[in-house]
Amino acid sequence: MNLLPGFSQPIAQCQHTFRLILKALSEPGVRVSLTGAAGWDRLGSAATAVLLTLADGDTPVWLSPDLADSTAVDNLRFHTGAPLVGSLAGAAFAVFGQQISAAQLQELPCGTEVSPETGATVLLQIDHLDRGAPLYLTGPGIETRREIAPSLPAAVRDYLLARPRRFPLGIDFLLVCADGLLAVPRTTMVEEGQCTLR
Amino acid sequence: MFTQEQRQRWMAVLAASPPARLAALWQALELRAEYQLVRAPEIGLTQLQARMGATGRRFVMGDMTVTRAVIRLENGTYGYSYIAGRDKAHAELCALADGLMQQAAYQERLQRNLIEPLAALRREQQQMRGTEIAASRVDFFTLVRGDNA
Repeated sequence: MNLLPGFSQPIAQCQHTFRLILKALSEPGVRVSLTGAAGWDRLGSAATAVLLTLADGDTPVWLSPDLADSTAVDNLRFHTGAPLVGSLAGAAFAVFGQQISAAQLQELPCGTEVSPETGATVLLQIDHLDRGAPLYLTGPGIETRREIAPSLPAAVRDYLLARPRRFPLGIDFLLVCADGLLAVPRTTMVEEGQCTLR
Repeated sequence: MFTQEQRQRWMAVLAASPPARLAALWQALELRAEYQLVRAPEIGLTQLQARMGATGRRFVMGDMTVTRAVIRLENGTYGYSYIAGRDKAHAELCALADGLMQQAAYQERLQRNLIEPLAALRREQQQMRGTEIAASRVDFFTLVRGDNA
């Protein structure tokens, strides 16, 4: 067992991180920096900080096999007490690396008309937040439109462009890379660079 | 090196130790140990369960405050502590003592100068409390009534 430190000031840092996640979600596409936690092996510092802040005994977490080494699993259990689930359908948080398929996104809970908040949140750890093909975001929290260029796996890119589930159903995305976080909640419309209304 | 029972015993002694006494004994040892806080001391609640007369149905007696901490020594050994109350410094010191007690280099010295005095103090306090209670003990018995003889 290899336990690593979590937050050194749990309460203050959780509140600070929560505020930054809130900013990222309410202004989609804005990049915030989460530096409070050191990161657990393959999980970067932003992913670790988000899990330390949002995961607890009531939020089933699904960890992608390419991230779920024993360090990540042990530390997640130790610091958050979150139950780790084997099926995506039962997860409140799903943590993915670059390996993600359309079938997996399909399987995630996307809420119901009566309680859309039961839709899952995907924490997607990618290689770069600014070196992919450009995407344009519009919607609540964005004055005109905002450009982002994360290096998204194809499945996620297709999902965001198509949005197969009608609002208010859907999945919220938190994209992390090292200590950077940007969010694409289900309220945000995503368009590709080429076909824009310039 | 040590059995689980031994560790349970020293952790129990540490958990029940008076903070001032533990700190004083620790100071006297003059140990320098490098460590890292894996779980910074945190205060929370735990639910106390009990059984009426130790045999009845289980019920929740109430909540109590506990403080817990986990430290990691330089060589990778973890020290844990769970103590009653809200004294964070005490929890951290208990965790550190637990970590060092698992080291062969420190174990005997700590056992002699830290754990045993604390255990003796605890025994003494328990005996004193026992005597106090024994003095106030009332034995009830039923007098034999003449009519059922």
